[in-house]
Amino acid sequence: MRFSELGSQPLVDAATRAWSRCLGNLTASRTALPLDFRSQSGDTNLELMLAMQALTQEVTQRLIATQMGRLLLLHAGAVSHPVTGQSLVFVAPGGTGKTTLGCVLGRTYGYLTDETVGIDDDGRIWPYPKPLSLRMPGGGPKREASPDDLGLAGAHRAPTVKKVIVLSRPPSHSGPPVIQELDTLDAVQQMLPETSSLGKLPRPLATLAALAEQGGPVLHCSYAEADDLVALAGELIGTVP
Amino acid sequence: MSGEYQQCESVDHLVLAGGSILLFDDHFTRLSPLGAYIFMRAEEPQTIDSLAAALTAVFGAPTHGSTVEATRVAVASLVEQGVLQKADDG
Repeated sequence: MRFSELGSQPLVDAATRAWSRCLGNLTASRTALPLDFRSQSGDTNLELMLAMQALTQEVTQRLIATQMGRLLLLHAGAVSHPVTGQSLVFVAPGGTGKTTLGCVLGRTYGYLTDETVGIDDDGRIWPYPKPLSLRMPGGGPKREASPDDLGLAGAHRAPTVKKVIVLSRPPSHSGPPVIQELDTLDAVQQMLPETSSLGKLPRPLATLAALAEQGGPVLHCSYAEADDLVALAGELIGTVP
Repeated sequence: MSGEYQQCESVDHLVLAGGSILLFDDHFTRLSPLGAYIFMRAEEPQTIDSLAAALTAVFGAPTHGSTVEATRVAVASLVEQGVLQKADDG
């Protein structure tokens, strides 16, 4: 990464902290195209936030490009039960509260991702515990926060899909969540817009239908507040002692 | 509308009891059982008349209007959705 105005070190330091869950002890290295961030405003903090946000977007795009045709990729968040690994996948378009829900459920369940869930043919989830992209009051760039700094639990070693819910958060909704079971065709139809490069899989729709039928019907959930879904998560993937 | 109609090339096709979903390179669409049947028949080019006869045999005649007209409307909708195309357009 090259950060033209400050030099790269502040960005490397911030990225190392924010991406702590994704760093490993690699025995091999790989060269990628450099990412350039150039200061526009002269506001160092703002530029650093913009660079961190751009880094998250770039890494996610490269991840999707690398895994398309190999994993079923859903625009979704996910958490895993720390003992069983059974996981809840919450599929939703942007702005529906995946990150907030990941923060709330991640206090109890292992944080897998707040944005892109990759699932293999065996129903195993390959965690992508990226920084959580937090909206700031008043708008502006999102803050890329380390799951460590937010106190989120670690991912199970081998998380598997237990239940899929499709989230919606209509402004008119108030009160407790409204849950509806989806038949397979409805579930596939509602998940399709939230897939990435689905057509690159060998049997894309059959793969999505198999996910929809795994662990019983997919649920559609209209809700208002993330805290309202804690009890539902306990019902679906088990409570944590 | 005249001539023959055939399927547009799709990436994948999921058929279940309540209908089907077609996946294309740049979009997807959900079809009713009747739409799914038309799509299946149109693997080979079909005229409106041939589709109307096949639909009558499987689903019966429409409660109102002629079968051919109802088929014409259904085919026009499928063309608009990018599911079917004129046979000589492919």
